Amino acid sequence: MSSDSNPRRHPDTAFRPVADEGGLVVIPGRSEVKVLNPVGIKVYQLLDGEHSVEQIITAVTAEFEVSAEDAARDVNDFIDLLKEHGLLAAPGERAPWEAEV
Amino acid sequence: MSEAPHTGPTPYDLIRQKAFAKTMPMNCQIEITYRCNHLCTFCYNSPTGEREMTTPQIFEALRKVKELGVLYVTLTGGEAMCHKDFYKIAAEVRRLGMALRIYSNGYLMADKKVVQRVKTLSPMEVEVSIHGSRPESHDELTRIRGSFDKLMLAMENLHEAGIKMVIKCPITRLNANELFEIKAIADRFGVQPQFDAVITPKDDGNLDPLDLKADDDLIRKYWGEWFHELTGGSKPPRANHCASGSESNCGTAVGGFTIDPYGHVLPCVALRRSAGNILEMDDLVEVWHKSPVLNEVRDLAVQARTKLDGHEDGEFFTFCLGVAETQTGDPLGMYPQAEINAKSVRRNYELLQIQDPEAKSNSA
Repeated sequence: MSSDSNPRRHPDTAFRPVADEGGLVVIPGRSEVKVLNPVGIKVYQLLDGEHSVEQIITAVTAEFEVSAEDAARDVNDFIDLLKEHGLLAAPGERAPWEAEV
Repeated sequence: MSEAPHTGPTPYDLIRQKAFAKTMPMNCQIEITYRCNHLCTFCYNSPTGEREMTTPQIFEALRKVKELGVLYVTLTGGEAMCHKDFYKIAAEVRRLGMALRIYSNGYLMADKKVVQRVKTLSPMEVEVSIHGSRPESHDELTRIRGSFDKLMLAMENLHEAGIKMVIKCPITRLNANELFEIKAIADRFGVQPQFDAVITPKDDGNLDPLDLKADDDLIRKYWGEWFHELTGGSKPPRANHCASGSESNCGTAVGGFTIDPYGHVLPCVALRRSAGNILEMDDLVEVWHKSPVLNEVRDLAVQARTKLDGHEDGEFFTFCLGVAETQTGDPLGMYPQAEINAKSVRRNYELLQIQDPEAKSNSA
């Protein structure tokens, strides 16, 4: 399975779901905070390199009232957006602090 | 027709308010050691001689903090960078998926190599304290000759490395006439300095640090005449912003908490009532929600807001329960600095009203 099919959030970010309200993603190196809606934070949580895009779409469909078709489109669009904003790790990419661990 | 500027809460404000309403802590401040390379005369730390947490114990504490859902961890001290495993601990914060803030006196960051290593941790920000605009005033307070020059180098290094810097300045009688020069130093790095008009007693209640507080007239002048210029035109804070949109006075034991070097879980950095030792807690989540100490503090924070609302200057108070407790023995007790600040902030707003014709016509 290619690493693209198991996307991983950038290791240099931190995130926090806030109950059912959505959540926050912090990009510390850029001192930026993004607010995500409940679907967005769910997807972000699952971008751990363990789940495939298909599994993420299934999880979204199971938890939210959305058709599989709409979920597939939204999840893929969202992943593209994250990539655009540098919030997804490139294959093999490590955070600089990992050298200290 | 141009759109009216957006003045309501941002999505970020709203989600933070929701987290606050659900008592979901976003912040944890961990004092990883009381060791320090400065001897500041007004330091509030009060080491008790207990054994400080070991590095593996700090890791255990961090794991529990992560399980509680904390997003931002601040490493502080003492001087956090004096801990022999500072980088390991900071990297563990990041490995666990939390954002990192560092509070430091900056002394060790005068070395470019140190700052380069700090940069690899991708901190959200590094907060340094400045106590004067000249070596004479800064070093008199830190009691370390050369500390001012080291701090200037640290600021240059942090700026050059592109690390977000916060420059904090507690106003004392030693620097009260240097605030504009301190702002000029911060301006060089494109940073808005954060002045603090309240000097706190020591954690053990010792009031000696208060000898250093600036005199009341100067504090009035700070709020009434200098504040706008010193803060780039900002209005003075009218209440503790961390609790905005809630019934509480502040975020103590709600928005965040503090862990001291011995592992005691405290409602915040100022109110040092232990809810127990994190190393002895099987489930921090349960302690967080059920601790009688933390629940009492939460109630006190609401009572404080209610009490202040009944005060003639109520909406202008930035009130600290911890300072109240150490100064008056009562977390709801009124302490002189809070009243002076509130009256001065109120006066500032009244002057704004007079000087701002638009505000005047709107209120008519």
